[in-house]
Amino acid sequence: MNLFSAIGDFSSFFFRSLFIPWQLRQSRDRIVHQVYEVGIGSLPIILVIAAFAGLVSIVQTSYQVAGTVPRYIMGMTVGRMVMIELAPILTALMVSGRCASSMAAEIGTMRVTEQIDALEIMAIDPYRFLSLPRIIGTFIALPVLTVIAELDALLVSGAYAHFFLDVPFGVFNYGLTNLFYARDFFGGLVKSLFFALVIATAGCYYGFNVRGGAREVGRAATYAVVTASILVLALDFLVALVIFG
Amino acid sequence: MTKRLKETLVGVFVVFGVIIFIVLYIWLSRKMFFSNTYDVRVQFEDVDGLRVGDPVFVFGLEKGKVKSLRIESGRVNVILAIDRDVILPEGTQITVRSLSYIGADKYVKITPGHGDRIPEVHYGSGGSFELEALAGQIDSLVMKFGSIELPDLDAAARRLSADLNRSIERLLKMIEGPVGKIDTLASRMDSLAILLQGEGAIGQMLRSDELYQELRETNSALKALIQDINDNPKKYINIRVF
Repeated sequence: MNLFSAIGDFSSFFFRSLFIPWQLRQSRDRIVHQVYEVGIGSLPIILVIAAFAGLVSIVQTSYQVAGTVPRYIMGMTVGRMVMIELAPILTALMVSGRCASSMAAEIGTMRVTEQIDALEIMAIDPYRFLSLPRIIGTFIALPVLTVIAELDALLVSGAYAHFFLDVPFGVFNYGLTNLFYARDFFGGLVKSLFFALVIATAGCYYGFNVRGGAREVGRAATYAVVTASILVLALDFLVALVIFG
Repeated sequence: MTKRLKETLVGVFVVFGVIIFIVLYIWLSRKMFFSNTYDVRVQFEDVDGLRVGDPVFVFGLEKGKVKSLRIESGRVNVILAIDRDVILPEGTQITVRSLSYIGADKYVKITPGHGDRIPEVHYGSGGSFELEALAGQIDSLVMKFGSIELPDLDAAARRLSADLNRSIERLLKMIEGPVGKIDTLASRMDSLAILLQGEGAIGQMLRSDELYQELRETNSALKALIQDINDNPKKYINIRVF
């Protein structure tokens, strides 16, 4: 399969999964389950990585600008870094690693054990039954995780600046709030919406396309994570180009 | 885990996310739902890179933000959201300035006037104080100074010192002869002074009032004698041939 046919196949899978008659009453439980799996299941790890992202960003900012610009600039720099890039990207990559692989493995196992064929025989649309709830669930959970990651990173970086870098929280907050542009905040969240779509789609796509046995299931999980990560970064560039370019 | 519990957790998670979203936005943008500000309309010729959200300072205190920017009939119409405790009467000066040396971030500086009425539209001046331009000029000046190659000041100082030493030596040699003569002259002057001040004849002559009086009297007598000789020459000069 060449690159273009792969892109076409992936896109048609995405549209086929989403643009079907929604039966929310039937899918509701599965969507709730996916929000739980992706959102609440990923929350602890997201809190940890966001805290470290905040720490790294404030330390790096301090290292690079301390003594040359007013200290409140640190608040502005960290705020923009976290809102525009760090929180959406790190959250998306973490969810890719954690959830896209599990989706691919789960659906791939169903494929090799012919459960998906059984669904079709029972006249249940496997896309609506398996793909749609995962895509919608990730679409709901990822922005929430991103917002939580942003708050976590900003609070941790502000606290570190206050206690270890001699930058009072008031000064940090001054830079953070005075040089705040709503576009930065909403731009990061818009990114996370796009990321959610590609992460869930990649997981489901590789799961649906498993042919063979357990080995292929493992390989599908790997492909799902790799593809989701690449798509996340590519979309990051495209969305940044549109919103901030 | 029961289905009911899972649904509750998911609901809490989503609501929690929405609350954090709202809290984060209010915190960062410092926008409250019940605004305590009012809009002030200002027209600028040029806003010099001002953006929505930039701060507004009144007497150096932050008292608002830039709400919107729009070009209308060849001018930039700026709406400022100003705290209600700030009143901007006629004569208010509104300018756009730079917040920092390196940044392109701007702020609006307001100095309230003392007029009687509050105008509907204020007129501001943009870029009246070009901090970046000034900084650029300073940078270029520093670069020009940096490119000037200074001579070896240490060597020049050493040469100057050697020249000075040589000149001083020549000068000392030149004044060596005159100095001896001056010494001699000074010693003679001293001797003369001692002579004049001493008890000798010259000293006494110089200091004696009696001698002075005698000399005057002698002089007067001499004048009288000369006069008498002129008047009566025969009295004194008696020339006989035979």
